[in-house]
Amino acid sequence: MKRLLTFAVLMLASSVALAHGPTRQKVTETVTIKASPDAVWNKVKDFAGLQNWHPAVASSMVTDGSKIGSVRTLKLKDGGEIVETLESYDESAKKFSYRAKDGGALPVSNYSSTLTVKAGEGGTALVEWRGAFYRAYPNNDPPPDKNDEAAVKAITGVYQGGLANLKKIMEQ
Amino acid sequence: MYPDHRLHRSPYPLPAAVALILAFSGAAGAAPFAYVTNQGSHDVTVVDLADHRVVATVPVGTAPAGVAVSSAAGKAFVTNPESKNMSVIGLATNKVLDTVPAGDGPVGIATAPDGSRVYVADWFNNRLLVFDARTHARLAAVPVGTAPAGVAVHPSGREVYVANRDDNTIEVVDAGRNAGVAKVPAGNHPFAVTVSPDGSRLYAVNVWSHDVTVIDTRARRPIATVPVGNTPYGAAVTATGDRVFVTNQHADTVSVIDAGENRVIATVPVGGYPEGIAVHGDRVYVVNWMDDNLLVLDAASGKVLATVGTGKNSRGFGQFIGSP
Repeated sequence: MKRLLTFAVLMLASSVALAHGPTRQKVTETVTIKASPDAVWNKVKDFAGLQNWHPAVASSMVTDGSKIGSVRTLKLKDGGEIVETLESYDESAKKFSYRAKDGGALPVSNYSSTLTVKAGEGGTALVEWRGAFYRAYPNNDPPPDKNDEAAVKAITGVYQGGLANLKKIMEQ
Repeated sequence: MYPDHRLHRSPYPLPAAVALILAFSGAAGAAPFAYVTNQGSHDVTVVDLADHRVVATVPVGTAPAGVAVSSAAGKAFVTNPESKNMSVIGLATNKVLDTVPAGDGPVGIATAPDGSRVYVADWFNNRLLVFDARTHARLAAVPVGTAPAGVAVHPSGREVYVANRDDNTIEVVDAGRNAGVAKVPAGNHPFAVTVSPDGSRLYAVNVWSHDVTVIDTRARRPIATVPVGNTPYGAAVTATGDRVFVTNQHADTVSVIDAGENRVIATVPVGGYPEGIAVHGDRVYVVNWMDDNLLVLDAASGKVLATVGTGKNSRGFGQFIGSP
């Protein structure tokens, strides 16, 4: 009984201590697009418009457009959902950052992301998408589908898939 | 840099006290080194701050995060949360001298100013572990609040402060008795804590409320809350105590706080996901986790003087500067 109680207390404590115990991970993906930075920025700058260029996103519903604090709910084509809040938006630097609510379709927690369009060489655009996150499982010894590798793989997939499709659309 | 009365009050023999003062006077003595933990490459980058060159890369345990460099002990202590231990690096050799078990998720770490003790926050077990800095033997495990993160020690060595992140409090631990004696309310999710050089003020950095709680250490109560940038993570105080520098992880900036007025007087752009921060002389050193580098800033102007590449996912969480 005492052992059971100790276990229950430990489980309770574990569920409270979210994130930061494990190791924060990051992914940065870039793509060079043969189009002007302005044209590429115009394609990606709408916080409500990810479905216009990301092949995995079916639709997005936003609360306040591309204003800071706006919340978008992404419906994925495979049925999942991701809720994200716009944290910063810099039109002149062509970049914005957002943070995801935990418990969405991606196996991550405490996930934040920044999309930036820069000038590449020879009039091209260089798009950088970077994210910082923890795995979905907050404690030691995670199951394989919620470990660091699973988290990195999922975010890498989201960025690569999105950037490849963006390049395709812009260079058509 | 430190008031003279410290010499007279010091419980240590005079030569040790003199060595301590010399070690801390930095700019006047030998050039110090930065010990930056790299959580993604499982090593520590040692940077000579005289010429901003990397002089060593020291392999440690898995996913090192916290660091406390003690010139007095001649050692750098590093927490490895994933291998659940602490690596001890000799400052003279830049080699690992020892690896010691340290609970189930060691994160924050700090040393006593005289170099006698090492304090480690044991994240999953809600304890502060106390080690002998000379022998590396574990002396005590002090129960603290939930998810203990950052650790700082009062310049007198008599009190240790621990950020109980998930309780939104700062634990005051009596270093003589190795027991918690008070819990001071902080903001939402305090992660890093740092003490002013004169010991009068404690700064708790609140990740979720985007502010810094200023605590009167004598009264053990908060006296001000200073709003800073998005998701603040680290803080460092100048030797005179007049400025506090805070890294804002999601804003890629450093907030400069006037410690007299307890308000932000400047916001300086730095690298991606700045985390660890330290002040030495007239320079501020910022570890950028996303960019894998260490920025050297002029403390007065905020101008970037140098950029030094580190290992992968560099954090430098703690007091990461010292001299052999």
